[in-house]
Amino acid sequence: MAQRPCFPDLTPAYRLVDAAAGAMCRSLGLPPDERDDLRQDLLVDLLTRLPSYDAARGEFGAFARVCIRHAATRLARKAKRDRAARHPSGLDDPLPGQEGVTVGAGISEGEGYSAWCGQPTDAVAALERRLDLERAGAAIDAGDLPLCGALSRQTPHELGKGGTIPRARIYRRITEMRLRLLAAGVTSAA
Amino acid sequence: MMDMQPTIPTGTAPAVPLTEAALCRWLGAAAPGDAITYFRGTLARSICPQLGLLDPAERVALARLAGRAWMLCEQGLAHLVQRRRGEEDFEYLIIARRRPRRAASAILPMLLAEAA
Repeated sequence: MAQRPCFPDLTPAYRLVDAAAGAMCRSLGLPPDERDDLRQDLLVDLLTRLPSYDAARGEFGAFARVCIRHAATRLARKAKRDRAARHPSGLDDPLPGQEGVTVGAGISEGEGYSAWCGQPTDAVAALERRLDLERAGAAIDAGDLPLCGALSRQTPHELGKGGTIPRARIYRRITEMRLRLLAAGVTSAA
Repeated sequence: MMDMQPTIPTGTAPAVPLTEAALCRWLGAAAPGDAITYFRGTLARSICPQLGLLDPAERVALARLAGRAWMLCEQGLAHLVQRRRGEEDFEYLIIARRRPRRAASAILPMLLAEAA
């Protein structure tokens, strides 16, 4: 029969985990609601390492402290990595060169959320773009629209390698579409 | 119904032979009633491979140009007109038509379906 593991008293670990989660929140500038998640992650990490604890080699508190320190380091690195992958700014960030004005104050309500992402917010430009698209769509043969959709995701070379359409036919259709667009007054942007 | 003009406009002859792309580009920028001479001579004889009046490359280019002009006419974007200038000497004119009223958008349903 397998020997049941004998777990030590975890009371000191709770205190250590609480302290480590609080310190991480402060040092990383995380919101307070992240503290419970961090506490949970640290505790789970410690529990998974409990079977390797040997009481003959030291006190449980020392073991827990080392485990929690290592886990906190890993979590902090991951948080920094995630943060570096995103653009670290917020609506409350100050605008450079303007005292007391935040990024959020520089965006009007009418511009919407797109302005926050740096996307165009001009409604007239959006309408003109839609009309241009409709004009181009009307000039192109309806049978070529699926090909246009495919070409927006792949190059003609990649599409030809896929084998669904012969490469020569792709280029022939592209030439035809260009001529039709030219005749409709839609010139190439390049 | 289209406005009919009493006389056929005088087409401007291009300095160099037109290409398909140049013809389409001209039509894209042309106002209704604008005309251009896309060929002078006898088109049917010139593009006939058996007669060999033109180099093969020139003949193919001319056949493409004539085919494109015909296609533009079929799409309702232009009129094709010939003017007799002499014995076996014709001006082939293409006259820009008023743009057809836009039909129901073909691309908008696709955009809406993609956005949904």
